[in-house]
Amino acid sequence: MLEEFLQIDLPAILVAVLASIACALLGSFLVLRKQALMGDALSHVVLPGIAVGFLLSGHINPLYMMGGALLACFASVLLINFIKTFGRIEPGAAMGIVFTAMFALGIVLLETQVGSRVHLDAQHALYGALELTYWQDPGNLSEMPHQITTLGVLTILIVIFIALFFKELKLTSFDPILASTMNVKVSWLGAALMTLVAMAAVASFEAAGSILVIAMFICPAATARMFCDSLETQLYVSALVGASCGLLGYILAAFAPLWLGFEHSLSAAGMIALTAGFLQLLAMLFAPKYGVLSR
Amino acid sequence: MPPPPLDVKNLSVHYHLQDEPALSAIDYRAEAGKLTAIIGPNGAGKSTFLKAVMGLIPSTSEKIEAFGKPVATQKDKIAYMPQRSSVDWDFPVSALDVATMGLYGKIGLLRPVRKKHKDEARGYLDQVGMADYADRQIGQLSGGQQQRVFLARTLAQNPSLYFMDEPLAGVDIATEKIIISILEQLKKDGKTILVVHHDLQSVGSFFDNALLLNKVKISEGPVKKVLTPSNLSIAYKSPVIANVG
Repeated sequence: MLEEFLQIDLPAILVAVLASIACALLGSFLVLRKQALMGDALSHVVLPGIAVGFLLSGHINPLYMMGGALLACFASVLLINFIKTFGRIEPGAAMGIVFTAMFALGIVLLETQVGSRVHLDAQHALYGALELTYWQDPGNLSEMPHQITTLGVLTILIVIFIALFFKELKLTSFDPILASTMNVKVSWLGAALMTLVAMAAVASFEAAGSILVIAMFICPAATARMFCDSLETQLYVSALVGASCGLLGYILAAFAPLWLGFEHSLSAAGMIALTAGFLQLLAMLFAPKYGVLSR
Repeated sequence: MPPPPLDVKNLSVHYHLQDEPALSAIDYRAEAGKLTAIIGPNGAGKSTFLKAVMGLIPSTSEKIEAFGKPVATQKDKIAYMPQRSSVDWDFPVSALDVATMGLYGKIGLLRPVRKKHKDEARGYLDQVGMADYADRQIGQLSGGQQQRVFLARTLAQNPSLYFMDEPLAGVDIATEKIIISILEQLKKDGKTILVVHHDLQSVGSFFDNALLLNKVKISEGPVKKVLTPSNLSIAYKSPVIANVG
């Protein structure tokens, strides 16, 4: 029983919690910069890149996946500009075309090419495969599932990035116009942030899948907005809410159905997203200062 | 003679997909140590002028120089105070946070905000009568108080040339008095200040010079010389009476 927990549940919980924290920290900036849909868009765009990463490496290799995903993002930016210039349509429409087309390309690649070579089908790519995280010999760090390593490194990277550029992120998020009159490299910082978002979307991909990852970006950050009057607390609270969603969501998916007498557990990614949405609802209703009931 | 604080030659702005230019062929030279109002009807291109000079929107020109060098290289000598409506006041920052942002250029990249910076910023909040509200989230301030926090941030940048976009729009009397007295003080300190201003009635009592725009430059110089009935009727396409003090 304990061994099963350590082999299956603990690594899955670690992946869920780390992915939630990484996404929540970046999500706070997405929400405050009114770019929440960028998180959504990027998580869709990276899919063909991930698939190509699989094809090239022949197995699940985080570096290939990240590389492929960033290339896919880059290609999307070029495509959007191309369509904007020659398609006689507004930017929003150009983005709509590119994001859905890239996502669809990713699904086709997964279904026709990748599925036969590595153990990954479109279903898992879309909705996550947290249940497949497996640590044969818990405690043996050399055998630690690669998802934990990837997410651990990425989360540390994100924390360092935010700490180093905290005041620039604050300024460019609050008042990008002032920032650009002060010689702050607004577009570089924005590009760095989006690169991290794309990387987080890839790293969380196995935990949440490329559809539900948007909930991890947005919900904890939005929940934290209901409680916080400073950017510092916003970041701490969103990370805390994210971690709670990961932990609670996994428990509700893996254990709660069994405690209630059902035979099968539920989709962990789905339950995490549902928990995140539920916490957001509670916050909107009951938050002390900004909640509906206390206004 | 030292180069002028601002020297603009043949500045035009053409917004995408619009037939008529928002501004065409503007020549303008700011007079050092003066308080200048940029005036004109709605849509005349007053804010556009400042934004184009700061390089915030694309424009064409023969020259945009501050103190004899291209504006892009002089950003540490210039502060631009945007319209209050340009930011999200629900953003999780305090009045002190916003005032401190004016010091970021001085603090420099990769260096954290320290207590001495916050103390300095608190001093600027004090100048605009907002020291008691330093720790308030900015959304909980009135419009006039928000404008004063913006002014404190601009003061913290400690520039030689100020661009202010509608600092007096929609503010209460107390705020207007504070802003005007600070503008006067800055002028005494030898700073050059350009202010987009909407209220023709008060131009004469607050400002030395005026720049009258409506897509093109109609007139510039001392307020009395600019606000003549004929200039105003060209700018506003109808007779306007202004108080030229």
